[in-house]
Amino acid sequence: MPTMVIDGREVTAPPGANLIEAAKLAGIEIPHFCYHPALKVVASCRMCFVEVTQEVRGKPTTRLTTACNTPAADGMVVRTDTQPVKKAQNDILEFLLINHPVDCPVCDEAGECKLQDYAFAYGTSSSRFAEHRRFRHAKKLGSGIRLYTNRCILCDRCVRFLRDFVGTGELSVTDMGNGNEISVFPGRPIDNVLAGNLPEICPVGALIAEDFLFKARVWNLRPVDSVCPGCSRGCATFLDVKDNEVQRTRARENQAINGYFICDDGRYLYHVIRHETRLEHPAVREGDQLRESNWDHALDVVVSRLAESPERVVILLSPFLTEEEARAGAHLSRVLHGSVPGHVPNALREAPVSFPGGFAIDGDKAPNSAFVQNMAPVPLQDLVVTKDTVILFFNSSLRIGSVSPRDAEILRRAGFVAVIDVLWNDITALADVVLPGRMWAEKSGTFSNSAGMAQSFGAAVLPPPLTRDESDVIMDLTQRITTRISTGGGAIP
Amino acid sequence: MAARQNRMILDQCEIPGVRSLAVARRYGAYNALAKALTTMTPDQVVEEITRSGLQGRGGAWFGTGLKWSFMPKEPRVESFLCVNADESEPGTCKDRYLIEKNPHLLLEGVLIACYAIRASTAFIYVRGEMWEGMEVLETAIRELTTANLCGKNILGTGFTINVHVHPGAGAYICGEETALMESLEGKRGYPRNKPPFPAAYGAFGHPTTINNIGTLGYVPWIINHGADAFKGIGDPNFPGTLIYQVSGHVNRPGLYEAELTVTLRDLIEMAGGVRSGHQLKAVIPGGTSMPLLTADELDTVMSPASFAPRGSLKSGLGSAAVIVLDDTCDMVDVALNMMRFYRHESCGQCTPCREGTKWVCDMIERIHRRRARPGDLEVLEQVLVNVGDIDRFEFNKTICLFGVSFGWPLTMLIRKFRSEFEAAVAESTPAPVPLPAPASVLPDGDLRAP
Repeated sequence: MPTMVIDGREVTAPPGANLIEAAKLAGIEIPHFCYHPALKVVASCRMCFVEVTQEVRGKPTTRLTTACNTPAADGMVVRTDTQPVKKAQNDILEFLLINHPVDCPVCDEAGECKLQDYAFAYGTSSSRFAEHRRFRHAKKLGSGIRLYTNRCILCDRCVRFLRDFVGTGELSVTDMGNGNEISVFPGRPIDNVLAGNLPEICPVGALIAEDFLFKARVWNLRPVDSVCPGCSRGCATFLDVKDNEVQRTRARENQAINGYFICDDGRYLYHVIRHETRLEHPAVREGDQLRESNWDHALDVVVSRLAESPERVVILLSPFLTEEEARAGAHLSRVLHGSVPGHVPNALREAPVSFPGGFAIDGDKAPNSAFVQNMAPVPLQDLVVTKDTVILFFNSSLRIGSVSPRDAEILRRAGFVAVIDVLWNDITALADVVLPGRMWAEKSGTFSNSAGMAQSFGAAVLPPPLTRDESDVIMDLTQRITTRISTGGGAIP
Repeated sequence: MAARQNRMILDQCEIPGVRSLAVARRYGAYNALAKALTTMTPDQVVEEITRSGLQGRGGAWFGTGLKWSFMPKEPRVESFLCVNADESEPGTCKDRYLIEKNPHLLLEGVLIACYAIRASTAFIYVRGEMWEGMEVLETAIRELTTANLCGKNILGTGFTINVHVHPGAGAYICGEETALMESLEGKRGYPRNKPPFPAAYGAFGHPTTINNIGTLGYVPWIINHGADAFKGIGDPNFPGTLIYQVSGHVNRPGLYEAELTVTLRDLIEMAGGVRSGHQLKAVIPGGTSMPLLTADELDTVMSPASFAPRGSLKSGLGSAAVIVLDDTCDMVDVALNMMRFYRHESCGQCTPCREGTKWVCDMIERIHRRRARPGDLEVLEQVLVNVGDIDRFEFNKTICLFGVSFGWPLTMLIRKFRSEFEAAVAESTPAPVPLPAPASVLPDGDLRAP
């Protein structure tokens, strides 16, 4: 463990750490553009200069060096605030800004732009550059990514990410010297499921996601810690909220699960929250039609069917439920007939994907399968379902098709099906009572990923007004049923 | 007394028909290889070269034997020899001549070097424009393979050396050793950060030694005649000879081989002196990347000893390409000519060089067109210092030395001939400050799809 002094503070860095990481441990920020902890170090932006004093052949030698490719070593004395360091930082910023359009007022990156932040912190307010600026057209690179070429500082992060981390290598630097430009090969646009990370990796506003283009100024966004419900990997995310709408999803660093990135499936999943098929009111079947209803009536219909013969009730849980909801569902099942609930396994499965950089996408496209199967071990296909069976199915699936056709057929056999769901889908179509639930962004809860790691998340946006939290509905049902059973199954007043 | 040439290398190049193996062998080629392979161990070869004091002729003057000694003695992976024949420093023309005239001299050096560093593969990275040189080398390698001097089981010793000729694509930066390796690997010729050094992590991640092709030309001579004989030639600290390439305003431009005790004045004299009717104005001693010397510095001994780092001359021997400028040269012209080259050849990897080359070139262009604004010269000097500060080498800001290769010579050029630049600024009509570029945000329809 090398011990050194950075700006007068003694720091012990883990072996192999560079000076940027070591300084971070001491709470000192060394500005940098091209360095990214998940990518190969190239030391090309030259922003992270520090002054290092070290013994070379028995003589203390002071030199200016880049912190990102200098490993922390015992006995180093590092200064990040001397005049030569400040001058170097100022010089580099001047160089980077001479061809930058400084179009911050119309740039989506403004507010989280390193160039902007560093220009304020380490730069000067005026430029000595009075030549013609380089001008390049913006271009679409594929996968919903645009390159605002003028803003690019050629830090190379995107190229290294696609080449070394993702392994697809669509981007490369073309031309030479001052003409360097990030490009795709003709007819070979960016085509991979991690492309949505590019705007996050880009330290400036050069790579912009079309999904977020001109949507919001980032300082108006409220980030909420969340967990991606897209698959059993459970990547940590931020949901950035403005005007009660999720504006975008960003990766939240979690070294145990997703590192610094998330996949595009999870990134753009937030659109389901305001999807046109969103279930927004309770509905009760009248004949062969589902009619809009209110919660009191709908719950009473459900409770009266459940109370008729509790032993014939089957409680079903889906892997889209949170841990809290699954527990409440199991409790309800115990109250009704003393046995555990069943589960409807997620039918959406793909081959798992992993990338050279270590990122992995799980094949199971539901967030909480492991936990729900633990709470409700019996799958639907092993349960006896007849025309006398009353089914209460807590589905709340974010994806159409998560119930397999065979399981749907079994459900169709039952005498009565009540379903709590968030979207109009093939299951709500066969149900007798449909109750609108809430999505992950609208409630707090916990998901356990396929490796058994539990992560909790908070509510980011307010739900549609007539929806209710699944736990809340289960609680309400439990209460109504206990009352009904204890009062001897009297008629509904 | 005028110094004389010592043509230990050049004379071997002027043997008629020496390109062919048969002729070359008649003049003793590959005797040193046979001697090394049959009577010496690799370590003895390294020892011999170390004792001879041979240093890299590419411009860095690093001890060749010392460099070889860094290679692993018991390699876990294959070691490589990279031979740098990407000669592209403006003014430099010795490697091309050597390759085209006497490829066997160089190839013998390559094979001995491979034996010394236990490499079974050598890559000769030849500058993309040197088509004839590549053909000559390839023909020579074919002859060698037929004669069992190259390839498997050389001369029955069980030693295998394969030599590959790899054409560059004409980028100046690929002459930088780490950029050369990147280019050899099929990547963009971007210089690498050091450390790791090539002996630990070189081409394709294998231990690699990179030698200038001109350096290897001395190796057979040393093996044949012994280290002590080589050490006795010229300056004992910088033994052997150097091929000086004198160009510019002299009567007989060309290659002049001399011991490293020769002065700049001697060299110009060897080249027939400055063309008649003109006065010497300045000399670039080692390719345009080296700051120029003025007429009163002609007694400089053309050896690395005179150009000590942080020395008073603030210049360097570089590749020993001596470019002589007479009084017809306008120094603003010279600056522009040089800077256009560096703007074109910057690889653009790191910020100061990528942005600095264009900025500096734009400013010099404006001064040259007499459209300078007052204060331009001061900004120009400051920008040059920001790229490569000649007074504080330990504060170098770029990955490789390209930044200082234009920062230093231009800084010195302006310092030494400031009056010419000041005059150009004074007679200028200031150019208007250009309008900002159009905003980069364009309506959807105008975005060019890839």
